[in-house]
This record gives sequence, C-alpha cells and structure tokens, in this order.
Amino acid sequence: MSDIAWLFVAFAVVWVAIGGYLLTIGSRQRRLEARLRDLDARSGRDPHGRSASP
Amino acid sequence: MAIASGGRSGAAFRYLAVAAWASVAVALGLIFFVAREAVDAMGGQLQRIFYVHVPAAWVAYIAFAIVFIASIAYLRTGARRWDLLAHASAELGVVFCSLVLITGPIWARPVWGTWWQWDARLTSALVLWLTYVGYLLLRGLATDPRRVGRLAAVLGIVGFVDVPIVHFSVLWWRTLHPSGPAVGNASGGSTLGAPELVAFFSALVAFTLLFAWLLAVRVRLGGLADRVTELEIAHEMRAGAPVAAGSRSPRPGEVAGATTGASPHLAER
Repeated sequence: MSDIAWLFVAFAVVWVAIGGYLLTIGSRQRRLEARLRDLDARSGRDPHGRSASP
Repeated sequence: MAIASGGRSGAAFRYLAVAAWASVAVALGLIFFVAREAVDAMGGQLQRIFYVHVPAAWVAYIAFAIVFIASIAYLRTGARRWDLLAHASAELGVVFCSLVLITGPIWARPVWGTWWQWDARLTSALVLWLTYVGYLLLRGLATDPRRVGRLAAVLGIVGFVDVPIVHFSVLWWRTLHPSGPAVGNASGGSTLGAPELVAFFSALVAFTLLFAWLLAVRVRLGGLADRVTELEIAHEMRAGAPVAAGSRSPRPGEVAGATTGASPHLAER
C-alpha cells in the first residue's frame, strides 16, 4: 500500500470515529428527549415544566 | 448539527461548534497544503499522521486530567455535577485515546514494518486506555450510581497516575517511539519548520476546541438523562407503584431501588 493510502486510512479513521461518536450522542439525545416528552405528557405538564391543571 | 443545542446556552454551544469545525477545516488545509513533506526517515508523507496523532494524545491527556480533578471534587463535595463531568470527560478521553492507539500503528506499519511493539510508550498508552475503558464499564454495569460514582472517582484519580508515565516514558526508557516532542530537539531548537509548526499548533487548537464542544454536549446529555430519571421516579411514586428491583434499567443519577422519594443523588446538583 502506498504512503498516500496509509495517510488516507489514518485520517479517515479519525473523522469516521468522531462522526460516529457524534451520531451516537445524537441518537442518545433524541431517545432521551422523546422519553422526556412522554413523561411530561403523562404527568400533565408541558415540556417547560408548567402544570396543565388549574 | 442540532446536538444538545436547546436552552439558554444554546447560542454558546453553536458558537463553540462553529469555532471547532472552522478550526478543523483550517487545520486540515494547513496540514495538507502548507506543511511540507517530511524527510524519509520520518516517513515522508506518512509523517502527516503526526498532525492528528499528537493532538489526539494531547486531548486525551486533558480529558483524563479533567476526570482527575472532577473526581477529587466529587469525593470532596458529593455534588452530582462533578460526577457528570468526570463521566463525560472519561468517555471522550477513551474516544481520543482510541484514535491515538489506531493512528499510531497505521504510521508504524509502513515505517517500522510492524503494527505494534511492546515498548514503554505503546504499552503504557494501552494500559491508560484499558484503565478508562474499565472506568466506563464500571459505570455502565452499575446498579447503585451513588456508590459507583465514588468507586469510579477513585479509579479516575488512580488511573491518572499513568498519564505522566505515558508522557515521560520516551525519556525514562529506551523505546522505538520517536522520543521527545517533535516541536523541539535536544538542543532546544525545533525539528519542524515554520509552516509545519503552524500546522501542528492549528491542529492542537482544532482538537482542543472540538473536545471542548463535545464535552459540553456530553455533559448536557448527562443532565438530560438525570432529568428523565427524576421524572420517572416521580411518575412511579405518583402512580403508587413501587419500582420492582430489576423492572427498569437503572439510569445515570438513579439510586437503585428508590421508591420512597426523589433521588438524593440528583438533589445534590
């Protein structure tokens, strides 16, 4: 394999790993936000924490 | 990217994200279009791996230093925010340490003719990575976050002892790894020219900003997870249904078996 190919592999690994980590964090955040919305709806509160009951 | 960008500090997150990615773009431009090819002894074109390998190691050091400081603060104060910070920083430290352990062998294979050597620098770096992978496993497998927070804090403090060993291993022992910082040689001068130094320091700044942004995002995610746990416990209490052990997977900040009140662990924030 040529030097340029090794260099490409090294840089690709770095940015794919960082991109993959970002995707994982994004997925975890979306899951938690959905759960939060569900819990807020079940407890009769809006997402900002205000009670829906008078 | 809309990761954890809501709330009052959303604008600050966005500025940090823009600064991080802009500096990454500048650093990549400098690495490939300004820095000159190294002499063959350093690998020629392959030496450019150094511009991501060293900054990744630098960021891993910063991450583990934050784990060290936050763990001491957590043991002293018991405040959940320190535990969150330590956990987030350890996760990022492992990500960047993994990059160090991957890019190093990619450079070594064509230059040394082997992927790996059990020399002091490589071995101590692997031990560092294993220590913090263990730290994350400990937290992931925990059923009692309060207790595991303390155990993890102790591991985070003890594990940091390996950071100076990794850094100075090239001076303390004979190793195959290039010795000393590449920005200076034994006579105090730089082994890099001005274009290479500019590229190197821009890569350091880019990785540091990227780490700062990722850490902020990850800490916010931990806070969000705590809020979900708090609401789940409150909801279950309101419903009058005791939380059966093992019926719900414990989450960050949750006290195992908490059925009689909001988590004191969360209340410490």
